[in-house]
Amino acid sequence: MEQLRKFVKTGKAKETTERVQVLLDEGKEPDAIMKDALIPAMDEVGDLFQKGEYFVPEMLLAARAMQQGLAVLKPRLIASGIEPIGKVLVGTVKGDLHDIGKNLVVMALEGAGFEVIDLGTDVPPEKFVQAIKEHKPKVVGLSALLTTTMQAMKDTINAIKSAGLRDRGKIMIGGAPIRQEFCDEIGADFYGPDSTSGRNYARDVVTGEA
Amino acid sequence: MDILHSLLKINARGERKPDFERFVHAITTNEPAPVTVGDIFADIETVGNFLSVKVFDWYKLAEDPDHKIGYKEVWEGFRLARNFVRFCIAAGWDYTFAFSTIPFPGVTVSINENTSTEVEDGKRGWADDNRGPIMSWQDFENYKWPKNYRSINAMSLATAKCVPDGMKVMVIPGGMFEWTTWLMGLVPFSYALADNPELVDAVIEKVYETIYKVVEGLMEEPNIGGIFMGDDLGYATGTMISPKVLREKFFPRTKKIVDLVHSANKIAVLHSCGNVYSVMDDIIEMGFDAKHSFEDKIMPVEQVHAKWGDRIGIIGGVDMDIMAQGSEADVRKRTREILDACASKGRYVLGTGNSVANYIPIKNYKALLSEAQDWNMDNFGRKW
Repeated sequence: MEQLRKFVKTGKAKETTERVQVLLDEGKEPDAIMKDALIPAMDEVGDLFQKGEYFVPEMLLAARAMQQGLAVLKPRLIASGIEPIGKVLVGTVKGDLHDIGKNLVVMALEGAGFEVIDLGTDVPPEKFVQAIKEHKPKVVGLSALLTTTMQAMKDTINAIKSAGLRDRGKIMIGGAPIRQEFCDEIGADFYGPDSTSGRNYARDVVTGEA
Repeated sequence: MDILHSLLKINARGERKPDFERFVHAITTNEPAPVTVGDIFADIETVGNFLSVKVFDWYKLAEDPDHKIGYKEVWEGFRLARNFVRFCIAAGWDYTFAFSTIPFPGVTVSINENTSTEVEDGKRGWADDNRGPIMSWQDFENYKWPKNYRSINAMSLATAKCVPDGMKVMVIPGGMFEWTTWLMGLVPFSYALADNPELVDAVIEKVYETIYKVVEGLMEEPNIGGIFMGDDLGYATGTMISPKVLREKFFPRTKKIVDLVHSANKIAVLHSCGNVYSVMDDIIEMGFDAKHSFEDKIMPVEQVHAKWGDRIGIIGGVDMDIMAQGSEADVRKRTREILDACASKGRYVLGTGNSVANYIPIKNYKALLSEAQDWNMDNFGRKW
């Protein structure tokens, strides 16, 4: 398991998939591989990113390794009836085409064992509303990079309120121009300065701590 | 006297005459003086709205890659360059800006509607992080690297013939990191750093050679004052890639471009967004005369100036959120705070946190300019 964690952490995709297969062949439980190796490895990657010791490439490489390892593991997880720890809906708000920040959040969440519904970029409020109705996520994550597009977060939250869905789950926001004051002003539940904070908050939501 | 310049020159008719040396003095010395203003550029729509003239819709060309550039586009481009000069004169800049945009084939730019209500039909273009034209050795080997340096510099050199006496042109050629990641796509570039580092090195070297040649082609023109290199290295909490990789692969080549500019007695300014403070000493050591682009959320410009303002010029810093969303009073208040903290100590030029973007209400940009004049009156007894 230690070796698998190391492969994920250092972004070695091929070695990760091979190691997952070896561990399965040795009879390790898929759930244990997930909980004792893949998730802790991505947790460590997220922490290193937050501390400024890892950067976008290291994060992307680790996430790629994790995803490829997970691809080997997934059929066995499904067969064992293992469920994701929760469902998170994310998207970059209307008018904004940036997705790297949102993708880092997706990677961090998937790495923590969440099922993530990624609506992509330039997502209008009504699409968020529709997706909340359809997927019933515990957490909705809104991303924006621009000082102009961040206003669309408010429109999105208002649309969610108008549809009577605001109390169905928590809303977290993030992106370059966002601050806590803005989060409070528009009535979001949480502002995360980075992907690791978003992951931690989503975890707190599913464990009832937030 | 250059005959072409005497024919094409735009006269600065206002009370304030541009003086490039005033700008150079402002960014290279800590001697307090009336503050001058500037930014990397102003958006096309902003220039049009500020001057109350109709301007050429540049993004129409980007939206249609098959669009053939004809005489009409060349003429409109020339008129646009002259309007940039007029804007800079009217706003009180000591330089004008010009783009020597390198037409790297296949760099994809997504165009999106501007969400600001201040701009009619305002659009902005964004690079695609997920793909680029060079993602493999085969792509690299087949790639048609731009070599038409004279064409690339045509608009900058034409602008140099239009500036009024005293004004010079700061040319925007793009930066090493931005062009490399746009050519490869930030995500494929990130993977290639681990999977195919030789390809990354090869692309960086070609980007360097191209930018170098473009900049070299500008250095003999006396009305070119220098370069304003736009190279966004950071995001909210750090640099996009590790300082180690920046130092190994990018900075040595960037330094050579800065050295080239200095060898022609011109100046080099870096515009770099995001939290780049872990490499601020590197930026200074590369020899940049000034740094532009600051965000209050990351580090207010006063703190940047207090930390590094005795070693490098600081330009701008009135946060884009205030510029775009604040009232005129908010803009004035923040401008005054920054001027008191920075301009009073010298090595500072006033400007926005990023650029005079088309989502900034014109009234807010005018408030910034007006507050600068008021501050100068209060501190030096004259408007400029």
